Amino acid sequence: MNQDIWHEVALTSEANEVACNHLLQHYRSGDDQEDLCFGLWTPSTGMERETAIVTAILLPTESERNLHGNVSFDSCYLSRATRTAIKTGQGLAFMHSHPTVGWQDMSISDIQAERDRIVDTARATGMPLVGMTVGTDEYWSARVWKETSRSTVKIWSKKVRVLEKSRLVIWQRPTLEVLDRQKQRRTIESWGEERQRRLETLRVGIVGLGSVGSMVAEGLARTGIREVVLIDPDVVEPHNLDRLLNAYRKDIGRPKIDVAENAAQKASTANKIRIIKHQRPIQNKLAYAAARDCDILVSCVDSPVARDVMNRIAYKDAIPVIDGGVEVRKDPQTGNMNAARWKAHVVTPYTECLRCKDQYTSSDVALELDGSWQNPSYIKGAKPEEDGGENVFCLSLAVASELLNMVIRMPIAEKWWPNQNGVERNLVTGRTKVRFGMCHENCSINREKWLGDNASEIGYLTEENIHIKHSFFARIRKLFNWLN
Amino acid sequence: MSVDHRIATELEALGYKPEIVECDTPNGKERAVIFPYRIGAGRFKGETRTFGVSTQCEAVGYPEVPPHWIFISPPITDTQDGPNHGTGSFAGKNWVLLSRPPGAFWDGVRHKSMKAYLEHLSKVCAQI
Repeated sequence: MNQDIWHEVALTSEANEVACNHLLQHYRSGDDQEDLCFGLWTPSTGMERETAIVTAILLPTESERNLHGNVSFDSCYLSRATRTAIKTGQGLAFMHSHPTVGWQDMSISDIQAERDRIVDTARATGMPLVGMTVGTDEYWSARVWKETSRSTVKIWSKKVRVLEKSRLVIWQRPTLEVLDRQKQRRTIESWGEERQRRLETLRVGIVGLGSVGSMVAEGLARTGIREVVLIDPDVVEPHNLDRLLNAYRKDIGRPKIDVAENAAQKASTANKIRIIKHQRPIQNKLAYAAARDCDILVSCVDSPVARDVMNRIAYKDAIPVIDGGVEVRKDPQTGNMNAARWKAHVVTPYTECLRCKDQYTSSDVALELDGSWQNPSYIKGAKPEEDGGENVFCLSLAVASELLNMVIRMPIAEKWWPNQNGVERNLVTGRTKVRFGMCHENCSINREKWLGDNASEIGYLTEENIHIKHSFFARIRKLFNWLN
Repeated sequence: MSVDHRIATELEALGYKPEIVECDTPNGKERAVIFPYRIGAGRFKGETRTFGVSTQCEAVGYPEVPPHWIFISPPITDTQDGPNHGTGSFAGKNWVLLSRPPGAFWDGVRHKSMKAYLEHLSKVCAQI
């Protein structure tokens, strides 16, 4: 067993609703009665984290469980649930309710029920049993029963995530950590200790540490986020200095992730910030695995391949992606800017995917994969945005601010807050559009939602840096510009 | 099954006679699947030319990621002036290499295969 791997459980909004309605039905009607049910989960494996995504609940029939203050189940119910799990290629989750609030520990009879009655049968699924308990306030706690060479051990899940339409509910295992709140006084006075604690449990990944990503990194550090994953293969170049926060002339040639890390360490208001860096593109297998360890991903890239990878992660691994970008259009005659707009959107299995939002097409992915996307010789008939990259600091700041607000809104939002999906602002017209859309019926990304490791493989993930071609073409372009 | 074999098999099932060849492209040596194709529309309507799709780089994610290079032999003059890599010579023939990604059309197709790709090819032929 890999001791470095930690376990987490995530529930879909539907699974959470069905399970809570069933498990808490007696408490809600005033009876002091526990209940139980089985669920099905799909694995999602990152670099350090294994997540069980609970996607379906198998409710018991009247004869399959006995209510007597406590609750017990009939072996037929366990057999039915196990057969269904095997048939669907999923793992088995056992869920029950407790009459108290908050994170729930286990009684001896709870342990006996899971370890002695269910673990052996659940082994037939080829996946470990996930045990879950819900309190009367819908607060989930969870554990995974892992096999070792000697015995079956219980490993507590660090947290349980419930992904709703535009909200990420985080139930975390309590810690005895004493926090110094001096540096965050004004923040906590604004939204309260509970929301700050929810934010602090997040691991946020930033993909792309250019102008927008560097601002998002600083914003997250100042807000008190304690775990940040930085993914970007590039180094600072002279033309970045007009927009790249915290980068100076002396930083030219340094990896962008190093510049962002130094700045985030200095800016952090958390007791301790952990920054995990990957100087790789996200389509590299290591960076891809690190991204799948995150609770939220912030997409600050203009690469179709990177967007495609994150789009798939958002759907299959149930990790919300907050994506944004800036578009500057120029008059082809004069070269002057005649339009500037920026967009930001939340991508979850409940929203329109990035491809259906027209943020990229699979053909753009094909062009980028063979190096044509940034190839100066691939010019005839190329789309105007292909030579792109035009941007100014204030536009990056605007989109970074939208992204940061969307990231922070997800874990702090209450149930009654309206859903957020996408927003588009236009500098020239001063207009704001709010976009709510759904994927088209043939969307293949949508068909893979919640599938985790069972989703189809991304064919172009690499062991090595795919940017070799990009850098080659970038060098040619540089030489070309220099000659001119 | 490798991408080129998969593409060849799909073409065979549609009644074509595909051949897997190695060719020179701007990205170096690549494999391509070539097949005789009777053009159904446009200024070359009724002509049979050899068409090819490059399968090495861009098709690693096929069918989710579509091929974008189309090879045509004997070469044609592209009146659309679209992105291309001019002409080349391989498999004993002269070719024109055009880049014609299927764009949003491909993302809207439920069953992505060469059958859908040939629909795209037919539209490209109607335009060039």
